[in-house]
Amino acid sequence: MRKGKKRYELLLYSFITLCCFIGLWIGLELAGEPFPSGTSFIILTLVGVVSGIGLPILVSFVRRRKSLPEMDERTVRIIKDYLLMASVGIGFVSGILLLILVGIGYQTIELGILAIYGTIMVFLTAAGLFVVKRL
Amino acid sequence: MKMKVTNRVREIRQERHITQVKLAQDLGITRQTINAIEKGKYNPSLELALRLLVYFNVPLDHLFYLEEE
Repeated sequence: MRKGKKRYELLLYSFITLCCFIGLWIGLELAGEPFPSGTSFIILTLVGVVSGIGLPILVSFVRRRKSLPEMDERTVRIIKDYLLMASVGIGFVSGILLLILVGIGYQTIELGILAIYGTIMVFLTAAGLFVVKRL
Repeated sequence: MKMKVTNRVREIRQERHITQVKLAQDLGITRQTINAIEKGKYNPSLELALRLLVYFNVPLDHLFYLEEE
């Protein structure tokens, strides 16, 4: 029951994050809104960080009761191994991608594309982290 | 000759009618770790192994021993 609830929660977080990305894409592409810059960009980033990281931490802190711990020595070891493999994997994939792009004639990369690539990599790594943590 | 660490955690736990959840709660670790130790998929750290010995009040060679693979 508890396991099913956690899976449901994870799916919910993934869905919300996906919706955020779709909303950003609609805002940028379809509605023609310019990408925020300057102070508003910093404020939006801070709001994003607080809602994305701060709120879940606060919720888990409030919910914490005297029950089974969610992490122990084995979990830490698994997470360390996963992050090591993920960083090597991302470096490898990025290298191959760069070689392919150079091979087909690209000479420059837009910072926006790099930012999107980085965001996707961070999102995938974080999603994998949630899965690995529950092993 | 390759040796592997084997344990009697499951046997002793079941003899004393302790559930995995209770053991995990008492030792402050996850239930998955208990399961992994019992199945021989994970060797606990020295600290956790000593805590298990104290918890079950058994000598080291009664809980953990080496076995040929």
